[in-house]
Amino acid sequence: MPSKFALLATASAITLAAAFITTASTATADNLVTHHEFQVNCSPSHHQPDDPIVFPGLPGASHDHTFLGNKTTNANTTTQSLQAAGVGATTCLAPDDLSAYWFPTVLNGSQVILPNFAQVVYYKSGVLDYTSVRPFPPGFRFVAGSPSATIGEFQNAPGAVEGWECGDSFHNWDVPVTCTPGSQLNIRYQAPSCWDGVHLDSADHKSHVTYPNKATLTCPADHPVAVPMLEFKIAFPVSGDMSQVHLASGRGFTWHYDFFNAWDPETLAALVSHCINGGLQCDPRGFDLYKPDRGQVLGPNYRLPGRP
Amino acid sequence: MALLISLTACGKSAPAVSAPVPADAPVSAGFNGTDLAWLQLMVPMTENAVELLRLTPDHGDNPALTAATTKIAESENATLARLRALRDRAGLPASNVHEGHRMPGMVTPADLVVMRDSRGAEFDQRLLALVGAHLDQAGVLARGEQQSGQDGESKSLAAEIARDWAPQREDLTRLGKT
Repeated sequence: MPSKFALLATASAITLAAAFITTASTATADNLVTHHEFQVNCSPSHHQPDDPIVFPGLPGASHDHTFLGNKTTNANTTTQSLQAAGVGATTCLAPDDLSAYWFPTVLNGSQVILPNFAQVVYYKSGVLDYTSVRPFPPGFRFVAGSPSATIGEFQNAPGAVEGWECGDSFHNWDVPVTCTPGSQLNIRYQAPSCWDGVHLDSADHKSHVTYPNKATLTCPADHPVAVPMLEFKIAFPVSGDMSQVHLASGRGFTWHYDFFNAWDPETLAALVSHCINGGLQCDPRGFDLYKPDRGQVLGPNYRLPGRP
Repeated sequence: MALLISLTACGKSAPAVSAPVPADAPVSAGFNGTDLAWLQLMVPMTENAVELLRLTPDHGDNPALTAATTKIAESENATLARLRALRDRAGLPASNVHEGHRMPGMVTPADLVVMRDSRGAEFDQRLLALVGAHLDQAGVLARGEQQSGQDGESKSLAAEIARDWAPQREDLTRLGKT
């Protein structure tokens, strides 16, 4: 007897297949849903001691941050300023993603270590019912993790994935003492994905969002709206002696990141719908390599069809 | 060409979402996000600076430096009282939201531990660096508050801090050279 999952997946696959005129074959081997995600790829843009969420209007108030995405992000950034930067004013592959992504700058002693290739930010389903995930509203923002976390808090945080990794060293809750020369220092961390449905931000920049219930993977009643679960996967080109490697916010367990949504709403909605609600494992074009018959969301220029 | 159709209905009804509340809606009447962030940062920064400056008469051995920092201490104490009053009027809690968090220019609890055990020339040298960094950052923040803040009284205080910064900094720089 088919599981509830398979039925849901089939239903959504048929809906999706119908949505793409170019899709000729009917989904057949598509029934097993293993993923519900897409990724965005964004290179570092700039770094400066600004934080438009925590210290709006106060340039220089923050520890140093490394910014990805929108090229204009600074202390005075607002939803309007991100949108006004204009299509393509981003280091992300999709020109319609004008969102700002940032995290504390990694330093080796006093040397700034910037990622040296396009980094991955996953947009996943944090809840069991991936068909219920809806796009972030414009201007939605939050801080994931905490710069004042203790090592225990970081290790036990609901967003923790594998801590700091390099080479074959995993589950480090601070920066490892040494890393195999030539390896990169990696971190993955998941953001809360249940929204109160009302506030784009909150006084502590956290309370308007929360993590799904760990046992049921559903959103709690006071934060009922499932939004994409961001997972930053960031790699830093630093290895060997790591004794002087730290974050601008302090030790490795002060890792945190910020997100400020300024996607073109139509593009974000199309990616969420096709890849997350549709149960696919999409690349930054909204294409699932393993289910090519399902089509793709964005064209070769990483924009919706019809956009030059 | 692929035609994309909006795909929202999957047999599940997502909770209704009303119009989101603007993120920059003031938390307290008259204060905007810049005012609140400035107050929440300046209160703990100034508290720690006051703690540090309190050590000067007993720990330092340069009378000129002690005289200069005593003047700064008076000014910081007065500033702290006004910052706390503004924080209360803004309806902000007294808790330090930046506790345990490395902030530029902030005298940290670890700095205070070191300074309590430090004496003489060594103390004076560290004091110059810490107070200088504190004043510089307070000046940077004051300019941001003047530019982007909303509450009149907060902006006036920021203007005074920005105005006092130059002569205080000059005193320290001169003393650092002797």
